[in-house]
This record gives sequence, C-alpha cells and structure tokens, in this order.
Amino acid sequence: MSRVSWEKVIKRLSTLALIEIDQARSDSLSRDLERIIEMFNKINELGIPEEVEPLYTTFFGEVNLRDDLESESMGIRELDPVGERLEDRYLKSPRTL
Amino acid sequence: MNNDVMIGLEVHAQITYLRTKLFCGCSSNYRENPPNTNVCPVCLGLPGSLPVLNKAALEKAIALSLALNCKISDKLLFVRKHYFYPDLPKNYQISQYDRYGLTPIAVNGEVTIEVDNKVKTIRIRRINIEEDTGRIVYPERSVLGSKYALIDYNRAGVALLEIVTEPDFRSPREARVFLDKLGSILEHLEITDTSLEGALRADANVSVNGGSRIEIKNIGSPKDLEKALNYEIARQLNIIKSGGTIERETRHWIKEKGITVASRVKELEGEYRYFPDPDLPPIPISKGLIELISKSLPELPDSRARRIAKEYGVSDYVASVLVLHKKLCDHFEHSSKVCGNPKLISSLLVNDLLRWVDEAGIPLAVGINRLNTDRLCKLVHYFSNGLISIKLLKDYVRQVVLEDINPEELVSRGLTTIGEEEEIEKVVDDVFKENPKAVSDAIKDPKAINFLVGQVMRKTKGRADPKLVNEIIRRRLAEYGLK
Amino acid sequence: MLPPQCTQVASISIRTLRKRVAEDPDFLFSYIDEVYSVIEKYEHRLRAYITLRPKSEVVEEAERLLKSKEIGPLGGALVAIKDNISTKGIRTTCGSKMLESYVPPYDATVVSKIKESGGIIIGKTNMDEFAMGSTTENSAFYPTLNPWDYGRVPGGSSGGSAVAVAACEATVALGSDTGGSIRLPAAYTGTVGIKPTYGLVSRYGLIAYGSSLDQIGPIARYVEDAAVVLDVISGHDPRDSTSLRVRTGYFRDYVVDYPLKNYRVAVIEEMVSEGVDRGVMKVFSKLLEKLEGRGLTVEFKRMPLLQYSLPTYYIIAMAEASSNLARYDGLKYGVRLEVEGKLWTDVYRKARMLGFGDEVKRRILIGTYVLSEGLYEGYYLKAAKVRRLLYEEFTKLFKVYDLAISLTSPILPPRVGEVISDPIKLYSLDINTVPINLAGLPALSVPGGFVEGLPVGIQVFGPPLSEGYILNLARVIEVIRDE
Repeated sequence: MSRVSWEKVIKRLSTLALIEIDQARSDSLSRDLERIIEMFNKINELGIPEEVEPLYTTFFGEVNLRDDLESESMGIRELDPVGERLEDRYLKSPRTL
Repeated sequence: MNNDVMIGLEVHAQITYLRTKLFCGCSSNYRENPPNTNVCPVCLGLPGSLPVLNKAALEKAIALSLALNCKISDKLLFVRKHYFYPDLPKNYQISQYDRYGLTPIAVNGEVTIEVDNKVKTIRIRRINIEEDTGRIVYPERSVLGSKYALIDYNRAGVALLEIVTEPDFRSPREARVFLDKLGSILEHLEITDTSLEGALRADANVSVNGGSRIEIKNIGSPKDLEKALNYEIARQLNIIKSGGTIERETRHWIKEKGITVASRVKELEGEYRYFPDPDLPPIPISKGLIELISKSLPELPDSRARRIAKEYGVSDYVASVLVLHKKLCDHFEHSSKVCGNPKLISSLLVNDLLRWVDEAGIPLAVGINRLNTDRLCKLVHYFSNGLISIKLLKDYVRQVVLEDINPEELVSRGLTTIGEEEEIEKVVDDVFKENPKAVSDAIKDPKAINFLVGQVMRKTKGRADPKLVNEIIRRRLAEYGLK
Repeated sequence: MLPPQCTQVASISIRTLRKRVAEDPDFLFSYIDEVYSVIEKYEHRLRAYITLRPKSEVVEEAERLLKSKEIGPLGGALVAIKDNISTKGIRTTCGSKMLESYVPPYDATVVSKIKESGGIIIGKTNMDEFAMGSTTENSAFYPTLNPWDYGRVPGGSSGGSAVAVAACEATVALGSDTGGSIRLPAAYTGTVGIKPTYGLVSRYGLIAYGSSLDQIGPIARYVEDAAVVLDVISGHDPRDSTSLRVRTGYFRDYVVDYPLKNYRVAVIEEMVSEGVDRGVMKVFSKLLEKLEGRGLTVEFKRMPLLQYSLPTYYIIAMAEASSNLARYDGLKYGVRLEVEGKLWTDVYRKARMLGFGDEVKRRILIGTYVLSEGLYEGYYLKAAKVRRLLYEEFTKLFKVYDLAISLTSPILPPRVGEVISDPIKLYSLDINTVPINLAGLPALSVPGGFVEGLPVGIQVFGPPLSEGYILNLARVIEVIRDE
C-alpha cells in the first residue's frame, strides 16, 4: 500500500476507534503502522489446512455460571464521591445529537 | 394492502422474569429504582471487571428457542459488538453473531400466525442473547433544547433476547399479529412481562415493490408496530408515485406524532468488529439440559387455545383472543372455575374488558385487578338472578373497569332491573298522562307503540326490562281502547 | 544475586520474615523502617512506584496485623502491586494519563487474597501504559530504571514491580503477563517471575490488555517467595468465567533443592539460536551442563512454527486491546472534559487523544484494523488458527517432555532509549515469551547467572498446571547456578 492510502486507512481507523490523530504525527504513525502490518503479513506465508479450528481461548475448564440471585449493588456515587460528573444521580454526558 | 410489501422484524424482549442482570448480580428491576443505584463494577464496565453469565437467562433462552421451533446450538458463544455510545458502558455490547463460524443460541425456527382466517408460517432466522444498554434522558426534556444529556445505567446489562424473523410478512397486520403472539409466548414462558414499558421492543425492516430496505427503530408495542408500518408504507408509496426512489436508511418511529423520521446517518455504521468475547469462553449446551427444559415447558398459547375452546365451550375465536394475554386467560380460567358460566365470562372479558382498557389506555393488569374474580362472580350472579339485565351487566362492567367501583355499590345506588310490575305500571301511567297524543296514535297504529316504550325506558334509566314494559303498555292500551 | 540497593535486613525472604516476627513482633517495624529507608535513598532514581503508600499507613496496618489472631502465610510481607490491578481506595492508573485520577471502588480478587493472607500493600508500581511495552519506558509518568545499571531498562511491562522487588523496596510484588510482562523484567532485574497457567489466578480486577492472554503472577527475589505468593493468589474465583476449578496443593512444597523427578527437559532451538548475545548463550550452556550433571535429560528440539508466534501474538493482543480499551471515553472515570454544549463524538475523540500515549494509540488502531470488515479473516481469524497449531505443537512436545527450558530474553537489558523508538525492535524483545501466552502455559523466569554485571534470565515452562515442577526446577537452578 502507498503512503497516501495508509493515511486514508488511518483516518478511517481513527473514526472507528474514536481517537483524534495529531496531524503532525500522522506521518510517523502511518510509517509505523505499515511496518507492523508488514510484520503481521508473515503469517500469510504459512499454509493452514482448511479444517484447523481457530483457538480463541486456552481456557478449557468448566465455565462459571451464576445463579439468579441478587448481590449487593454499588451506587454510582462510589465511583464519583465528589459528584463532579453527576447531576441528580444521573451521569452527565455530552449531547448525543 | 400492496402485495409487494416485505417486512422483517427484529424484536428485543427483556427477560423481565429474571431477578438479576445477564452478567452481574444487580437487580434487573430497574424501573422502580432511582437512577444509577442498581449498578456495580460489571454493569458499569469498570476497568478490570468481568462478566459471569446468569444461568437462568440461558435456560429461558433455550425455552424460547424450543417454543419457536428453532435449532439450538450445542454451545453458547458470546461475541463483542463494538460501537461507541454514551449509554453503552464498555463501548461494546456482549451479544452473539452468526458469521466467521460463530453461532447464536438458536436458528431456523418457525411460528404460525392466523390472519383473516388464513394460517401462515413465519420463519425465525435466529435468537440472540445479549445485554441491554443504559438510558439517556435530557434535562430539558428535548434533545435539541438540552446542552448535555443525562445517563442512567440501571438498565445497562439487563438480559435481552433478540428474535429476528425472515422478511415473511406481507402486511402490517401480519406483523402485528405475530408480535402479539410472540408477546403471548414470552408471557407464557415467564420470560417477559410485556406490559412493562420498554420490555418488548421491535425494529422493522420494510421494503415496497422490491425497493431498498428501510429500517424503523424504536417501536414499543404491537399496536404501534402496525401504525408505524402503515405510515411507512404509505410514505414510501407516495415517494414512488411522485417519481422518487427509496434510499436505504434507518428511521425512527415517533409515537407521539405517529410518524417515522430519518436518523442522522452515522458514519461507518455497521462496522461492529465482532469477535468472540475472550472473557466468556464457549459454554456447552447439553442435550440433557435441552430435554429437561423441553419437558418442563409450560402450555403454550396455541395448545391452550385449543384446550380452552374444548374445556369451556367457548368459540375458537374467543379462545384465540383470550390466550393472546396470559394474564387475561389465567383470569378467565380462574373466574370460570370459581363462578361458573364461562361463556358469559369470556364474553365480558373479550368484548367488554378489553374494549374499555384499550379505549381508556388503562394497563390490562389494572383492568383485571378492577374486574377481579370476586367482582366478576357477583356480576354474573346478579345477572343470572335477574337482578340486572344484560344491558345493565355490560354497563356495570364498564363502570367497574373505568371507575374501579364495587358492584355492590352500583346495586346500592338502585341501579337494578325493575322486576316489580306495579312499579313499571306506575311509570307507564305517568307516561300515558304526559303523552295523550302518542297514546291515541298507538291505539290506532300498533307500530307507534315504540315511542311509548322508549319514554318508559328513559324514565327508568334503562333499569326496566323492555319486554315487560312492552307487555304492560299493550295491556294498558287494550284497556284504553275499550274505553 | 542482589543489586547494591539492598541491605541485609531489607532483602530477607518471607520465610525469614515470618520467623523473625514470630520471635519478636517488633521486628516487623524494623523491617518496614529498613525497606522505607532503601526507598528514601534510591526511589528517586529507580522510580519503581507510581503511588507509594505513606509509611505511617503501612505501620498502622502492621499493628493491626500483629493484633490479629493469624499472621497469615505472608506474615506482614510488603507487597507491591502493579498499577493495573485494582485496589479499593488506592489510585490505579495503569500507567496512563487516562486513569491518572481513577480510584477503583473495589479490590481485585488477588488483592483481597493478599490482604487476607497477611500481606501489606506498600504501593502501586510503574508500568508501560496499559501494559503495552517491554521496557517500562512507555509509562505516561516516567521510566523505571534498572537497579543493576541505571543506564539500562528493567524490562516491562511490569518493570516497576520487578525493580521494587530487586532493589529491596518491597518484599514481593504482583505483576501481569500478557506476552512476557512478568518474565522479561524478572530476567532483566535478576528476580523470579511466574506467568501461571491461564485460569489459575483470577483476572477479576486486572485491567485488561489482551484478555485471552493476561495472567497475574508473582515477582520475588527467591523461588520460594514466588511459590508462597502463588499459593496465596491462585484458586477458583466465581467472579471470573475463565477461572479454573483445580486443587493444586501447595506450590511451596515443590521448592526443594533437588529435582523431584529425573525430568526430561526440552530446549527449543528456535528460542536459543537467532540473535542471542554470546555472553548470554554461555551462561545458558553452562547451566544446561550443570543440569545434566544433576541427572536431568536435556534434549534439543526444533519447532519451526515458532517463527510465526510474534505476528500471531501481536495480532491477537492488539485486537483484544482495541476492544478492551474502548471503554475509556472519559465519561464515568478517568480524564474528565467539559461536556456541556459539546457533541459526544468530539468529547470522546479528544479524551482518547489526550488520555492515551502513542504506543497505546498505535495498538488500538492496528487492533481495530485487524478486526475490521474484510480484514478479519486474513488477520484475526488466521492468527487464531495459527494459535491452534502452536497450542497443538506444545501439547505434542509435553507428551514427551516434562518441562522445557530457554532463555527468557536472547539479549541483556537494552540501554535506555535503545529500542523504544522502533516498535518492531521493541516487539522482538518478547520473542521467547509470547508463545507461552498463546498456548496458555505456565512459565517462570529465574536468574541463571551474570554477564558483565547484568543478570541473565532462564525461562522454565511446561504443560498446563505444571507450576509445581517448574518451581522445583527453578529452585534447582537457583541452587546450582553459583556452584
């Protein structure tokens, strides 16, 4: 991929990941990303038989399940004792439209 | 309705019969709590917290999958669905997915519905288990008027079942009938109390004449679903008629105004970056567990309707209406057993109770509470003893439902059928005195008698038996004629 | 094998500490004094801690502990906790500006266990931001330096924990290991670090980096101390769906000076060939000879698949990281921005730009890339398949061999600034450690000797739940290395 298209990719990624990219750093970032992806492409050299199942976790034990019993809740106040993010127990958020 | 309408539904049903949320022990009964009180590190998505699945949620999901005749997966796989939004604590939702070799809990089901005496099969594409989001409110009660939003995470993490159908509906009516039936199934399985605000929500996909698919979000009831679809189809047909084309988009149903409006197009919508949630490894779903749940499955609406028609001698139609509302049907069966006369009771419930709660916008549960078994028995008793006429009975039901009045109270107000002939005779005499011309008319022409009957009924405020009134007037007229 | 910062009292083992305190409870206070005087002298250079608890608080806790019935297996040990492990009421920054002011309202399970077992939390240690790094230079606050040579890095990401222990600023510490973050700093600081079998230690409260790879483990000066801490923190936790239900017995019982079995030990050629420092290799070869002298069978094995482990690891780790770090939007905790009158996407974008450092941003963006539509199959899914192959290779290996041994790092600790500017160079430091996490295996790094006054770490690993034998072999190495 060319440098220009990497810049485009980064723009799209920054929209998806909601991270503003400092324009001054965009250049070195696209260089780094390109090199890292190049390193990733090494796995394409490896032929993998069709029937190989992906492995997403190495946990093979019995998965905990919970009984439908109430445990103690914590109010949001415990997270924000000063209440600087709250209004009448609601969390203040920027506008959504 | 246009033949080329295609509608598919995505229904979200909260598992309101669970005590706790899907992945933590916080109460799922958020409706009664002050904002942000039933929250914990897990449902707030605090750093380091981890989800642990509520076993009962899995069991309920299996029950629904069986009831909708689905193929159930042999393992439960959760994925993370990523999108940023302030009501989503982790900025991803734990859900399920059907690509990349992953699978939701159940696929390929079917449900039959009956519309205009025709039976139709609706295919169920899949059922997902997932978590609900928090709620956003606006301090100034409007989105645009508010400088900021307020969030309540009490609802965040409540267990949801998502039921996705194939686009098998050809009319808004069909979609509504399906949602009604699904609601009843959810009630019978003790999964969702559909009367709770926001417990049963639907998104609808609709396309007209093979055009682009429009998604309508935010529909809160079967009734609204039909309204929203009717509105949307008319809107699309209008555009097509005037030479326009339908662009694929997402619209919101605005219940208060009865219209759909376009949502602001979100950039890169649909890029959810699904992948298996590493915090929730696959959970095997054994055949044994499925069998166990299958065996303990309660009676479902279809078979219940058949049984009720047979057992109580009510019509298939009445039975089918009764089972649409589990609480109503329970009420019917209980009251019929206690007070007898199931036909009359079913009629009062289906024709009168449902009508009045609907017209007045009273929740059905409240209506049932007002017209409880005790009161229903008394009313039936008054009627069969001849204390009140069928007309009065229906009028009593209206008052009981709308005003929460005891039947005894109505009786003590003297609102009973006048059984004593003497009393009616007195009123007839009064009417005769007040209307000499009508009397002479009636003597000449028997058809004119109806006016006099009407006058007597008015004076008795409908309490007199019209048949008896007719009889007495004829007798009196005969006497007058002789004079 | 202790760096110059240590004093005789400050460097005692848990066993000695318990013994001395049992003889004279006041010894605990002299010990605390001694550790704090080391801190006073050297911490301004080393910078192992992000949050150090005031001595008065620690003394108070020691008083409480001495008054309690049981002093517990940790017997008043001063435990340093990596700053990505949640501590109720103590700021937990994860080495990031994003969480600079975040105070968790709950304790991680391992922290509760430490407290219940007579451990006293002394402070929260420095780390690469969100555990993303191998040198502890990526901390948002300041780098931690190597106590053996201030011009060198201590390894990472648990560099603060390793340095606090190595330099006797704590008795033991907890770190976390996603791809080597415990073992690498243990190797570079001359300490013992364990990455347990995936699922042996609860992750509840550990701020996630790569959830399917992360494990908490101990860092100690002595193999025995590491075993004692592992005994305390391991065990089933109902709050973590990936927590194993196994009874392992006491790991400290395996810490004996002779081999409990005539182990067959594999040396994987790929882990000791390419790019290995000559001096480091000498230490390794000498050690192998000594082990054979003790009756162990040592055999070289090839595992060509290992050349794919770095890309496989980084694809999976970054994908999971991009998801795990989505929740940091500055709304509920962490970086706080003005919200009134602002649009949510603008606030999120800004908070994430200000809160995250460059390396974190890089990994989030790449993680987002490998999960996105159209690329998922070629990267994330493919990496998950290579992971399966690697897992199977190790399973085969350990059907024949009891344990395996390698260098923890092929090189000596890099100089400060040497690798930080080049991401690929930085990632290559993890070449020998990441395969272990991909396969979920237990591994330990123990000092095996010195080159130019710098410690050389030996990695011992084995099949799932072989921690006992690993500790035994590590103890044998600890005994024979100086012979």
